Amino acid sequence: MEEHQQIPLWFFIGVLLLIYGVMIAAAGVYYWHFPTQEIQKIMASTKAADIAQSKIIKLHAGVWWGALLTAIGAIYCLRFNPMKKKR
Amino acid sequence: MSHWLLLAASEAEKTILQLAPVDFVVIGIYFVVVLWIGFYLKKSTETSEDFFMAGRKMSAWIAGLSFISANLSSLETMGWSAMATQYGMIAAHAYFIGAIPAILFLAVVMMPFYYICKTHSVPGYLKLRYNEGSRVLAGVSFTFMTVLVCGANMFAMAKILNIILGWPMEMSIWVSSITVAIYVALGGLLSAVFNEVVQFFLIWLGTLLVPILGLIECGGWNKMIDRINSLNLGANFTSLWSNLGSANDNGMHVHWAGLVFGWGIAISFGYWCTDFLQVQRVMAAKSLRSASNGTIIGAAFKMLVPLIVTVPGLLGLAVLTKTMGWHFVGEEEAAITGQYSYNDVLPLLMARYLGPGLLGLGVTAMVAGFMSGMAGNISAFATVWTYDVYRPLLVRNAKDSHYVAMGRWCSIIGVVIAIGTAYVVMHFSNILTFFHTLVVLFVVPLFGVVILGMLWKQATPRGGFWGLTVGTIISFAIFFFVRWFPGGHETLMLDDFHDMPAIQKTLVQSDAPLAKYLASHLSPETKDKLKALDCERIRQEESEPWAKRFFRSPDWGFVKKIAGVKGGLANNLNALIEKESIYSSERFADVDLSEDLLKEAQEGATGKNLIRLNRRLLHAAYPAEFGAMQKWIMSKINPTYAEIIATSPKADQMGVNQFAAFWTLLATLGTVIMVSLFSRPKPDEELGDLVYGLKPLPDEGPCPWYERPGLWALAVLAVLIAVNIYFW
Repeated sequence: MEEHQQIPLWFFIGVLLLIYGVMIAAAGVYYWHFPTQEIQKIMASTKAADIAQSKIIKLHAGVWWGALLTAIGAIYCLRFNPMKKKR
Repeated sequence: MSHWLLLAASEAEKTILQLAPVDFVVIGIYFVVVLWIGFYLKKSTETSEDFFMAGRKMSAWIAGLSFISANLSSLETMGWSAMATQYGMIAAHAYFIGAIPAILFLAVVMMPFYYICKTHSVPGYLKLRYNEGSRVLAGVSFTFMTVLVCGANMFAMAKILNIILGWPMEMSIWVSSITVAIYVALGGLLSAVFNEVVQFFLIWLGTLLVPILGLIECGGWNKMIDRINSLNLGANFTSLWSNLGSANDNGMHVHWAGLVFGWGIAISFGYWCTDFLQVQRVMAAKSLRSASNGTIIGAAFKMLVPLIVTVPGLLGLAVLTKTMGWHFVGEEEAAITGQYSYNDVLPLLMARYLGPGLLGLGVTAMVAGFMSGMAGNISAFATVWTYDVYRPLLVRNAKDSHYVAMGRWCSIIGVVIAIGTAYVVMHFSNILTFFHTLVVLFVVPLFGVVILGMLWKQATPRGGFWGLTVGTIISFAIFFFVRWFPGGHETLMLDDFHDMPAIQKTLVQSDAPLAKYLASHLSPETKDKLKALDCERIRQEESEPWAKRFFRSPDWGFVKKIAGVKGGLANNLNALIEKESIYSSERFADVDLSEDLLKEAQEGATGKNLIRLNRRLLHAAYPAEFGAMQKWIMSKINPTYAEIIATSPKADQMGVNQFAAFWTLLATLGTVIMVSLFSRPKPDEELGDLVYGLKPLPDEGPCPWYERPGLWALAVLAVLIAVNIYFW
């Protein structure tokens, strides 16, 4: 398919993942430093369910998952860049 | 659009997920990208081959990912996660037994014939193998099924987004359907396939964090299993096969024979091997080898789906425990009591583990899953309608551009019909089961005819046509049979309470002896709920024109309230009518009873006859309020007939569907064989590319070992067997 299309499908996917990755990582960093009221409530709670959840919140999954998406998106964008093919 | 969504979300009373602004931006970007793809691909779809078959130039990877994504809708992820919480690991059979063997069979045995005969669709294969009659019959039933399934998808999406996010149903239905109609009408199958591959990435990257973080919270896989085993759930929830010896040994009430022969062979092979929505994706591959490898890639990824579906379902058991304050009930009970249902497990886990941004990605994956399911149905509908119904029956020899235009219009008309269907589906109790029912009704007979046609050269055109006809009749007959209650359904159901304002007036305000007697048997809680019910609103809604009522999206909070009152009434009044006769001459002094009924009431009755007598008396006294006993109920299975069809009176719709599929397949195969024995087969020279063993398959030249379909099919099969043994 990709050889017949001006823009390969994988490039569309790369662009989407790159945008999402940057946004999610940035949101992760932002909420790490400025947690929402709900997160603050969970972190301050002494209930067993909230303590278990607070451990997960401390992992800041948004930051590293966003970084992973950014990396995958960047690789796809570079590897399937339609401009590169033209050159 | 984000601002609009924010407003919509803020109006919701109570939702499972609360989105941040960044989440709305993530969702908005998805819509922009799918429309961009649609507009971009329009210039690549000028001929009918481009529009309907994506030019037959897809690589194995794109064909395979699209093949698997067309089925990976959010109905599936949420539905089977719920099943895993409710029934444990056996829910993973949806993939292990219910998909992988059939997909491998398609790749290795059936795909060569679909591919080399160069047909455009599965009904098209029937035309070549049998005759025009079989093709038109299959084409008409398939187009009917696709719009029903598309409508089911659309309704499910709107309802789920309304419940978990508070978005208005109209908005979900119209925004998603207009987007789908635009990008499919512009780019045809190519556009649908592109978006399915995008959805594949989104659904994995948007959902995979849930099991990862859940397992981290539990301390790993073994600790999660230990937690589940320590819950005293009354059954083995962590095995695949050891509790399937009898339908009464597991919560799903499935027997291993129904699972293997019904689900594993009839439903699964029917769906994966002959449902054109699936097969179309791999038929559009650039070569036979790519088509087979694409299908096997699909099988390999299908085997990984339990990671994002079954594992979250099990996490629902291990993490969202009663001791932590969580309790899940079935959908019907949840509607009455307002508790969380099993279907809420995946959204609740998403809310627990996914922060701002990630939650937007998770919701985007959900929306994308629904939309690509709709797009898949619409593109398949357009193809089959144009090639297998419109062209042979209506306009035979038009220009190619005429058929492309017809395909584009079909995409729009299909979406419009599906929107109407979405509201019809609202009356079905369980959408996932409804989907299985459709597969049984339409696809299983098709599979029987196609597989015999491919493997047995003696199968005749008459045999094919009558096999398809008889199989479809049998599947419908079983569908109606198991829902039939010849003497009427005895106990009161929610549907039996017709006029709630009148019931409120009778049971709360009336001084009539019978009304007071009935009211005295209601619990204080039921009485309070009945008193508080906003009957003016019900009257106002009922007075609206029919069309407005039909297309008005329900306020699920209010629907739940009414269901709650009806549920309380049903419980209290059923306890009464099962216990004693409600008849006394004083209570029924003002009621005009027929001679027969009066005589029966005076004589009295016991057991089921007592309940029937009381139901008739209730209906005679209050015909507008309490319905008569229903003889055919769409959402109920008659246990007596369930035992005949599915070996257990406890079998629910899922269990009955499995056996119904098996009987339908047997009836289809039997009819094809019997009719073929007494009619004339097509000569061998006409069947060369259509039947196994008549001609050698085309040699596509040498290829490296890692591109050989047989090798990878064996590898996937070996892993499948190992997984089943490990989790036995």
